[in-house]
Amino acid sequence: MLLLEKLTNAIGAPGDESEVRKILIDHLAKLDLEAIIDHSGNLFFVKEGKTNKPRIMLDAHMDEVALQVMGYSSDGELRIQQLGGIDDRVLGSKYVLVGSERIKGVIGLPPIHTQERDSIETVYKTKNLVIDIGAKDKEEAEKLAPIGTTVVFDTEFELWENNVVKGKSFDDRAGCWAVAKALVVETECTLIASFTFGEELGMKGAALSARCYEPDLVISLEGTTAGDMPEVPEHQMCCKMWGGPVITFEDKGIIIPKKLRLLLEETAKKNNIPYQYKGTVTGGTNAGAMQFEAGGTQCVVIAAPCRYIHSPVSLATKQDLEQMVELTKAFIQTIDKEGIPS
Amino acid sequence: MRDIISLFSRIASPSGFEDFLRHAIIDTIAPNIGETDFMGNLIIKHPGTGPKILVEVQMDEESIVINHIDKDGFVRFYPASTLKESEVINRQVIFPSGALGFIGVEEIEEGSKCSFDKMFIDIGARDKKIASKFVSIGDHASFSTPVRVEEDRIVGGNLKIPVAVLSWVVKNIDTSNNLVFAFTTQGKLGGRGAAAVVTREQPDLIVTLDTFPATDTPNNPNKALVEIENGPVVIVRGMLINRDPYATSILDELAESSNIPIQRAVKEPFDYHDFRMASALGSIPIVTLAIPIRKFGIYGQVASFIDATNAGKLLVKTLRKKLTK
Repeated sequence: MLLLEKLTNAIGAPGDESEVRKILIDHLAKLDLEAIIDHSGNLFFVKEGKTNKPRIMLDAHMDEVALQVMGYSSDGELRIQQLGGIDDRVLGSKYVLVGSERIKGVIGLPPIHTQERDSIETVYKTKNLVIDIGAKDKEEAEKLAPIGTTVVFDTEFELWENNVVKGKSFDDRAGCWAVAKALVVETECTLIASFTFGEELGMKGAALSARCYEPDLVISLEGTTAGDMPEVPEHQMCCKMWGGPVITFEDKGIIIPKKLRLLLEETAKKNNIPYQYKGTVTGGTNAGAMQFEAGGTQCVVIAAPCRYIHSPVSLATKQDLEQMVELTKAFIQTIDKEGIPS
Repeated sequence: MRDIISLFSRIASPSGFEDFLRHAIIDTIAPNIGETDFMGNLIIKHPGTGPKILVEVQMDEESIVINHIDKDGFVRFYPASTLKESEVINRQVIFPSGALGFIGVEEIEEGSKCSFDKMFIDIGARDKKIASKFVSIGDHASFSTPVRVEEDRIVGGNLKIPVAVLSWVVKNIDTSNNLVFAFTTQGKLGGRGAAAVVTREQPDLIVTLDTFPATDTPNNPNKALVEIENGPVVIVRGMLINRDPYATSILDELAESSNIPIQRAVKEPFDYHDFRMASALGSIPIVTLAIPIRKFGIYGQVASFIDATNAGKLLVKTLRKKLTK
């Protein structure tokens, strides 16, 4: 879990993924793979296989939901906007890290003593929130955090005794971690590890990646919304923690080709890897943007169930994460042996 | 043309599950014609000289996607495209297996919104095991509506007139132009199949066949008047993308010289399908010819064979013309 710890502790707002990129480059240098970085910040590693075998892209995105400095109060607090979808209700009183220098800050709320009953029940919108970095005045704030500076949640990774991991940005550092782990699989297929930028702002790096490498198959690895919490009916539950890797049949961006999905399920069964469906048809991944490229590209999405994603803190299980890697490796070997269903 | 329209309009073709309609198209045009890709797109090539022209029509119709089957055999779903809650309540749906079901709603508090998560489909199954014989997670179901032909007009739910017109054109085309015909999938989901075809075929010009809502009904609030039996509709602009003026002018000129009536219109509200095709590789000129259809929600449609025949004739003449630009 050391790599996952490094990855989730790294800061990586959309378009600002350099820390994550560096960790992946350092880690994958051990496999003697050359890092390729395109002009937009996408990171690739290519493990060449035999030319008569499918070219498989293992995809994950490096960015996380974040905030961005948009202005200042006269007292030197930072006015912000969201980069990616964050529930306004989870923002107040959270620790954050501002900019690449990791300046510490707090998203401030007025204390309860100073509020009327009506305002206590009000959810502050992001546009009405500010980050307090302790600046004396506006000038100091501008100097420390210029307009456009990105902000991420300040949450440290922990491995709990029950093998639950706590941290931020499991969407999609869990996917980055899984891609790096799955790359060691023994196969004659060419593997292209694709770590993209800007997914949270609309899959910005995905189309470029697929267009550039023209893979025969994309396996998108993600962290997705575990819904096993009170008051969520079963038919609205995306997936459960401890339930095994999550297989998407459809989301808002893609219908997974049925033959391919059934082959993935068959692979899980043959290898005694538990799996569950992504039970809601919501959200989207890089696969949605990659499927049109290069004349049409077949894609599957495998995810680790994570509770509370797109918030300051998420939970996942070591078991689900490891099984996601096992399923990915097994599926690569299935494709190696049987080819891609047409 | 009448027979093809009548046949196709009776075939359910939900997004991502267009197989039955595709097989009917192949049977209608010629056995084993064309190639089918992994998304289900049917591509028929007509090699020739000059610019490559992609002639496209979407095969799918509005649908819902199944995400859950409960222990009592009730089926839960999400809208696959832009459906409204009020449009689907108590409607009959049909699954790829042929199973039928009705959409019901849980009891909801007075004044609260009836949302899709409160709806279910009853397919008459006693329990989950029996339901699973007919319905699978990930299946799409479409709305089942009977079809009736009335002289020159057809009444039904999901009239496949553009698909029938293009099938007729493929059978009757005789030209040395370089054409690719595409019957595409997942059009109602934003032209996904069509975008993949564009990145593969890399055409110089795209011609799409579509439908356009006719407004010749009592006290219709829409200002633009488009009538059935007044000719196919040449789309001149869309909300997201303009149509190519040169290709559009060819449609105008050929219609006039052939005495084929046409109507002109602006496509509203958003033409995602055409936009995605035209922008999949940067910018490709696109022109759209549409059949006027009176539309009543998502499952009531009335159209005329006369418009379909005129659209077919105009398209054949257009595709025979040598493009000079």
